[in-house]
Amino acid sequence: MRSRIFSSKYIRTISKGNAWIPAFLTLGFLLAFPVTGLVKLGSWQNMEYTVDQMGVLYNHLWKDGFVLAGMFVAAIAAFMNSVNGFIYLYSGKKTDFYHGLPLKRSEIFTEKTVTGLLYYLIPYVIMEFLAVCIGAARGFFSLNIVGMAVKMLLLHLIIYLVIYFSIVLIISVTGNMLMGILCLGGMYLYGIVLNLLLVAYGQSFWHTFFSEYQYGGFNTLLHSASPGTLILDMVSAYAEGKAGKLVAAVIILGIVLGVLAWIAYKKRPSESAGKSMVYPWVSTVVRFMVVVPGGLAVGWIFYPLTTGKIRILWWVFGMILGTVVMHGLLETIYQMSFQGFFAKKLQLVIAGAFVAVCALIYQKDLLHFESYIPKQEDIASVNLNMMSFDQDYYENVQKTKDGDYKITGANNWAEPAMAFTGKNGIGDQTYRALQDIVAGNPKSEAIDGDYTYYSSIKYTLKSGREIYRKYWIKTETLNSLVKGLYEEENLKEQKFGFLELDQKYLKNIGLNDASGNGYSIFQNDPDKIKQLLEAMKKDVNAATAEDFLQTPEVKIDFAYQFPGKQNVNNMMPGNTNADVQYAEWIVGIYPSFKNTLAVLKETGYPLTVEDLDIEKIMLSYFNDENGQQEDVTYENQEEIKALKEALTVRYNGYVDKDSEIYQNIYVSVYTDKGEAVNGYGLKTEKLPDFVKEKITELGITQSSMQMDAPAINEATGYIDDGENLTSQEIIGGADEPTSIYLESSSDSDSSETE
Amino acid sequence: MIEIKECSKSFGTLLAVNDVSMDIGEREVFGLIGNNGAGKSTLLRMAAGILKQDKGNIRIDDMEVYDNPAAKEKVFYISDECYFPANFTSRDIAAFYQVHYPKFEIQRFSKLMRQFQLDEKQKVSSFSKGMKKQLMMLLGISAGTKYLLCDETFDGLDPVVRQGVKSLLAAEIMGREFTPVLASHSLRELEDICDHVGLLYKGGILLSRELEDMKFHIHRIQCVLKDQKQEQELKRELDILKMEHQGSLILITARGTRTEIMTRIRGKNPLFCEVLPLSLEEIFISEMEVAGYEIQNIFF
Repeated sequence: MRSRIFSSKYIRTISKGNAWIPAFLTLGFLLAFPVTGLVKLGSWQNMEYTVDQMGVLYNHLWKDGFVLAGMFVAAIAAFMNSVNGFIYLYSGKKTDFYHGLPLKRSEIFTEKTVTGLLYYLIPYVIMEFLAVCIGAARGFFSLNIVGMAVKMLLLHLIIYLVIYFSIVLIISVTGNMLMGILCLGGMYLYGIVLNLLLVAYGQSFWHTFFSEYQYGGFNTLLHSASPGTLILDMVSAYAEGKAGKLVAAVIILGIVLGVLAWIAYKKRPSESAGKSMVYPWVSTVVRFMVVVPGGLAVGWIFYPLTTGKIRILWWVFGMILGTVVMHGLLETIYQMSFQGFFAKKLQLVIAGAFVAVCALIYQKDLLHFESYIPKQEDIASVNLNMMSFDQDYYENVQKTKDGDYKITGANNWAEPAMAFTGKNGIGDQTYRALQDIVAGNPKSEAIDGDYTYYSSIKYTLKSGREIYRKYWIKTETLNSLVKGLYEEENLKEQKFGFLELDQKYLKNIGLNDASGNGYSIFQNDPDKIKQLLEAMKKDVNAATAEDFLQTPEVKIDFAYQFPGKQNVNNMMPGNTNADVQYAEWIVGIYPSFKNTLAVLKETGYPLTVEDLDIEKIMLSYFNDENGQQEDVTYENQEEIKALKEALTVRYNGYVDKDSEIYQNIYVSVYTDKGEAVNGYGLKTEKLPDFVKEKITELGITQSSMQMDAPAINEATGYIDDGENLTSQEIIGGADEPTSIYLESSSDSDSSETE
Repeated sequence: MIEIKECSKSFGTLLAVNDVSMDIGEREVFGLIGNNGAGKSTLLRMAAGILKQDKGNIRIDDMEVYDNPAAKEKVFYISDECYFPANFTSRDIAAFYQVHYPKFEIQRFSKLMRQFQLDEKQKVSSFSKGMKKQLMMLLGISAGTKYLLCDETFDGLDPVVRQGVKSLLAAEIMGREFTPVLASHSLRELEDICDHVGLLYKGGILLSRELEDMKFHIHRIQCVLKDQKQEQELKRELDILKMEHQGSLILITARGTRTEIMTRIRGKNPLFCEVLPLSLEEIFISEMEVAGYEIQNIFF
């Protein structure tokens, strides 16, 4: 019989009436390969790409465009063939017809699978061959292309089989169309929906929950718990030429699904047609998989509707409602009758118990998620979003084996290249600071401490495991952490890594003077640049962690330009010049950087407040008791001189000596170029007498809260690392005032100066 | 031979077939009778290897039938509700069965189609219910299988076709090794064709007998006896299933051969005595009543 089901006569006979499938797929693959190829080649020609560029683009088409288009047709083919082959299981009449034939179940399974494969493969191979021929006719033919065509065929075959077997499995374990559709939807979406639910709960109940992007189990749920996401990830990795592990994972998934589908089909009783679920134990598992998250989800919908303690009651109400409704709906679908809504009460109670346990895990933090910190000896490195702590910007440049440069920006703070690593794991001071941060986090729902930052940390363990957390951080603990990072970790190397780069790639140095105006300096003067870099190197090496915690005198921007490869994403039609890539550093020049400051002095730009040629200073006295504000402008040189003594530039972040600044006086400084860009404050200890008199006159008092770091609660502002400095651009290039654009979400950082 | 031993099948909480044992011999027409829900279709589907029994076993010519192509090649199952793949003509479905049943005779099928005035080129979906039933019957006969299992065999067939099908089955039995198993809820439909009858009731088998044997061993006699004493003597001497009185006329249904029964009665010098014809239904009623079943509950 085995030979009979593989004979051409047999396949032709049983394929009677199914010719529409290969015909439809031929049309699909015609569009996916030859038509796509013709459209792309024509479009490139019209855009006047060179032949070489077209070669690169055409090669990439076999890894990207064709793969994506073919994937959709392969998915449709898998759906049509699996449904066409096995949908008979939902009809008792059809089941009797097929299962009455003198064939073993396994033979029917094989026959359906093989004929489906033929319907898929024959049009595929013909159309792919046609696409190769079209490319060859345009002069793009090589063994490499043939190899890529074969690889693509295999890749699509894997995709086809995974989708095909997943649908066959679902049909084999369900008894009717409704359950089939629901279960198929569940198979492809369950991981994603569960991930959303867990993330939503994490965000609602845990202050330290990190949700900016997925990691660990959450990442697995999102990307690996659904055949769909796994396939999409594989296809996108294939385009980048690094699909190895994902291809292996998808092959394994295909094998597992194939074996499960085969077992489920073989063991499926013929009388199951029309039932909701074929195997009772599967329906029990599905019940808990749906009811427990369903109960939690409905509870979560009720949770934010109110505030305070009453929200817990509504949350519990929502969970009970959700559990009962989800259980009832599922049982109604199982029994195909609303009378089943309240059936299986014991299972309802057990599901309710599971919901309660899950709820307690979040609400009471039974797993100690909030207080968790890995053991010091287990930590290989930590990553911090430093951009939420100061206004510096730095990137990591690595030279790859093939001579290219790989640049990692500070925005990608969690990348391995941006990790802070000590000599053997992280140091004691860093770990103590981290422990203080963890211990200092809010213990209750209310955020009632004096927190300044809400920032993310990634722990990379020596085992390779990655753990992310987000912490509320106080200024003093942050200072301690940054100190540790400078002393024990490689923050100095990270921030000033550009000093080790070849000077030939340095294209521009921008200086922000004491007024905040930006200038390009030392243009066309490599000797001066070298001198500056050498001075900086010396200063950085000599600087202690304490030095880096001081308020910088000025900020310098170093713009580098590295050679890059042309690739399909940045190719300019007709332009064969090598591509470039940019890297940028914005760093502070601290008071201890004497050598650097000496070199910068030669530019003539004001480096300190004392150097500024101030025309007037406007002080806005704010009385927070009555909300009144009075602006007083000081133009007298004596007054300006006295004010200069107290004047200091304010930079956001740990370097800002907030506690030394008088809080209720806002300062505006005017030079001959207009209002200064920088933010300023007056040191409390050095307030001139006339300012003190004015304070007394206006009845302004400083509360203790104002004297310390700004108090943070839910209603007041804090620095969230989601709100980063996103770009800084220097326009112009003469040794003259130019334009600097600073873009930031923080209050006064978005400005333009001419 | 189809051997069914202690076979049971449940669908959830419903016990469709309960501990049924029976043998279906070769070259006989086996009638499987029972009301709706008696378990006929379930038993046939198990015998065809479609359903797997929960308990017991079913063997066809000494081979387990479930998931066994060698055994299933000997069986052709005709369902009560015939299914044909969409867009198939009679010729297509014949070709389909031909690749599955090695002994399928396509020429014979064509000939039978002509005899029954069915168009081979017509799409089966356009056939009436009766035409589909005829087609299935012709396919079953052309398949060349040793056993033909038909559920509600004559349902939807007009009397002429019904007779034609019966003749065809009879001719087939004469011509080759062929055993049709015909399931029906109507006794009258089967009595002129069956050799052996099995009666199913609520999933269990009530009786399974040779029809001739049943007819040969049960008789109904009406007689008038001289006195009450003779009646009492007859009750002792005969295996009486039922005795009714209509005035002085006594109606006796008794087990035994015609000769045995008549000899006993004539020995009493009755005033009048004659044997009345018994239909299969009446035989069943008598047997059932003896077995303690209310036949009305079974068939009516």
